[in-house]
Amino acid sequence: MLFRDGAQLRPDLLTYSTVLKHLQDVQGVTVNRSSIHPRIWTSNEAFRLDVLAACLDASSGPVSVVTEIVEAIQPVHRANGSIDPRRTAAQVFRRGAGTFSGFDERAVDFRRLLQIKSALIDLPDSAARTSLRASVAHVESQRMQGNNAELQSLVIDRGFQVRPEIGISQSDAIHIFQTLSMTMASGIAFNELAGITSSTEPFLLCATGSNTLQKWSPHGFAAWAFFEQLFEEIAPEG
Amino acid sequence: MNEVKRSASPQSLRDLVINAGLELIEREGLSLTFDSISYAKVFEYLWDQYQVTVTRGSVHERIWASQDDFRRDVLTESVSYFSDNAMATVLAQQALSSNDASEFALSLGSGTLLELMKRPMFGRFQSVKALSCWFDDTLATETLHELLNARSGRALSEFADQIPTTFRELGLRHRAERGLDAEQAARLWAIITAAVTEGGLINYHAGSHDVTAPVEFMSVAADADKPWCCLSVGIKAVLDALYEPDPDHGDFLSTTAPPPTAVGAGRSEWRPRAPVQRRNRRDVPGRSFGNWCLPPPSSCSSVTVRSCDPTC
Repeated sequence: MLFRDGAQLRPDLLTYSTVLKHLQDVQGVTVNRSSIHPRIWTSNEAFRLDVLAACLDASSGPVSVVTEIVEAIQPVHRANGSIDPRRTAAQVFRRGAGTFSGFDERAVDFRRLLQIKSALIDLPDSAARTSLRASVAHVESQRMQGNNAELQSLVIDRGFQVRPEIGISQSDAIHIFQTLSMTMASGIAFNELAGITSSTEPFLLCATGSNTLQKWSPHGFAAWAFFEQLFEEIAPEG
Repeated sequence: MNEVKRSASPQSLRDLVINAGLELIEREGLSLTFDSISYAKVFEYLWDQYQVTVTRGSVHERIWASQDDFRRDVLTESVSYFSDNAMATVLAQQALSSNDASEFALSLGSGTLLELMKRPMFGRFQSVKALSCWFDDTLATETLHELLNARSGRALSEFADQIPTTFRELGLRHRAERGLDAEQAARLWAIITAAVTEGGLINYHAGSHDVTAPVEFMSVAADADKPWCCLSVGIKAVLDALYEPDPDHGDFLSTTAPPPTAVGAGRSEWRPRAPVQRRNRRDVPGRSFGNWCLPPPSSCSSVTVRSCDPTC
């Protein structure tokens, strides 16, 4: 039910009765309440937490967008004779930001995780809730590690380094970047689910110093600004 | 005991029960769930708080066709009571107490927005938004979403309207080379800041991606007592991307910074301005946040169903 309805499913509908009815309707399987309560779960709430935890386990890994976008734009830049690391990086953020917040297929998984987080806010304090919170944090941290490799390839392969004046390591800079970008994506996705459109309105602007105006989402522009705050191009030797 | 008779007019009974529902939303904050707004919970609340008895039979099918109908009515009403100007107020107050843009970003991110995120009013609005995602009735959900969209749009406009004046105070002007006018730059900055703050609130409560945790980040405004956090770095990043020091501003010391050609490129060094006489925070005109004042019900003159935050 959670996968089918995604973020539209009210967490409080994940109860014995609705799920058992779903089993009956979809699979023709009859399960009695007494066969599971309190033999497997002691309450509806314990059952709901178990479902959310299983949903978390089934979430897919990090989304790989950097390589894909770079591969798509390099031939165009090459044809224009304008291979410029800054422009390439900007395009990665301009095109990639929507992955997490738009209607891209890959955003489904991000929204599911957001739904679990949202359900966590609603559930009362309990040991199971604390454990699920820890699982969410673990899954997100693993995802961030997966995305780190992507970002590192963007930074190293495209000739960027951490701005020396901010005095932090590359891994710290990547951590800050990811935290900011994922947090903004959460805010945008949450607003989208509530029917609020302002956080995705596009802006025509020029980000990279060329005089070309391009359509940017607030998330894409913010990601680009975060990146530029933390990284700079390595000056060519000599 | 005050028993509300079936003979009470539907409108007065509706006001009484709706107001109790609004008070429950206020009390529950972020732990608000669908179950928090039910006939039973609201009747129990009315009895506990005001010794007023209302029965299911007096409202069900007379006023609301279903419990979901009642919930939707409460949530729709609640949207119109949210204060619009919290972000704008925070922005203005922070600018008044900051000497330069770095200090502004640092203080806004590491203290003020976190404080705003923890305010009940902000959490309540997020709760109502979250619940609005899960109604089954498409038409009614659309109405609620339209209301939320309009309310959020108005809040965003108020926030964005405040930005040009606030940033002028800090000696900043929008970067013309970005191709945005002052109004568009302010709106983009407001959208990004609001989205990061709202996302930060959800993650803060879910125990993930804490944007308020201290991080290493060296800057002109580095201060041992006031560490940078991700949120401050993000605010500074977007500020740098959209704004630059205004050479015509008296307090800006460096007037020779080259115009940048890209986001963050040629970033000018914001040097602290000489301390200026600050207005007292209380002088900020016509502002208060966290206010969420409910009208008194028209049904029971002897019972005051009214609630305000202390800052109201």
